[in-house]
Amino acid sequence: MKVLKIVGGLLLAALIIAQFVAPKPPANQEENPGDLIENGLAEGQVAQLLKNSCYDCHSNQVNYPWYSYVAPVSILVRHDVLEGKEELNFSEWQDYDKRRKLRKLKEVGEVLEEDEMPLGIYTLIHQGAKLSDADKESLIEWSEDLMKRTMAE
Amino acid sequence: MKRFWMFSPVLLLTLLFLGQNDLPTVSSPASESGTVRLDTIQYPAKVKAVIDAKCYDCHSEKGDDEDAKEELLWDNLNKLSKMDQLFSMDAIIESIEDGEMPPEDHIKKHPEAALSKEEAKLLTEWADAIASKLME
Repeated sequence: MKVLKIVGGLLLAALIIAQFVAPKPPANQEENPGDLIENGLAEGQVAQLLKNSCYDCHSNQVNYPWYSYVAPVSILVRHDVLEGKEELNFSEWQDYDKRRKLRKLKEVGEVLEEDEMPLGIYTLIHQGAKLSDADKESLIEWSEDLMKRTMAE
Repeated sequence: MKRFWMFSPVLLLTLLFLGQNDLPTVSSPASESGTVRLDTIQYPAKVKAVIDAKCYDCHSEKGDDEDAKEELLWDNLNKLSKMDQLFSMDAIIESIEDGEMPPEDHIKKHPEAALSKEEAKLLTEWADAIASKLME
């Protein structure tokens, strides 16, 4: 019993200390002039799907629930958002040159087709971010169409 | 001795001829000097040396990391469509610039696989030039 108390106490102390020392998820940015949707490159239902299922890691406008600031969840969220933004950031879309835009769009199609995105650990908690087959279909179609438009630029 | 000097022009010509043969040809895929000529993507000797030393262990058939091989096989680049070649060049540039390649855990085990600043620049500038050409 005594051991349990000590272990429990230590864990609690560690958790409290972690709240102060663990790094927080990256901050959002209000102004994103290079944003994909702001620039009219995705509209209507597709824009909605992107915002709902992709923008929580791939943009500067993440919807952070309160618990995403609480360690140890914050550490996981921070890791995934940082990595997600490095891979693809829709808020800085216009900073990509033409060939990178084309490649990112091709990869969007690939990760959807192969069910790699959205991440399972994300949709587990954010059930509403799950994409139906029809959703995926319209996103893939959009990415192919935007590739053609980008190519013609 | 006199006889030797009589032959010197022949010697000189022979040397010149041998020198010519040292120039890169299509059929010498890994000559030490000059450019290795392939279909569209050419590897200057300096670039080839860096690739062989720092990338080839994983991104070739001899590698045993399937993910690495799926992402990029240097030996297959010239079999790809122009579009896929463009994507490969862009991915090479981005992964080097972001410090994703060579991977950290690989460098921990093989410190000699790290890219120096100069080597990174050499590779990205080379890939950039090819990508620009492919965009034309």
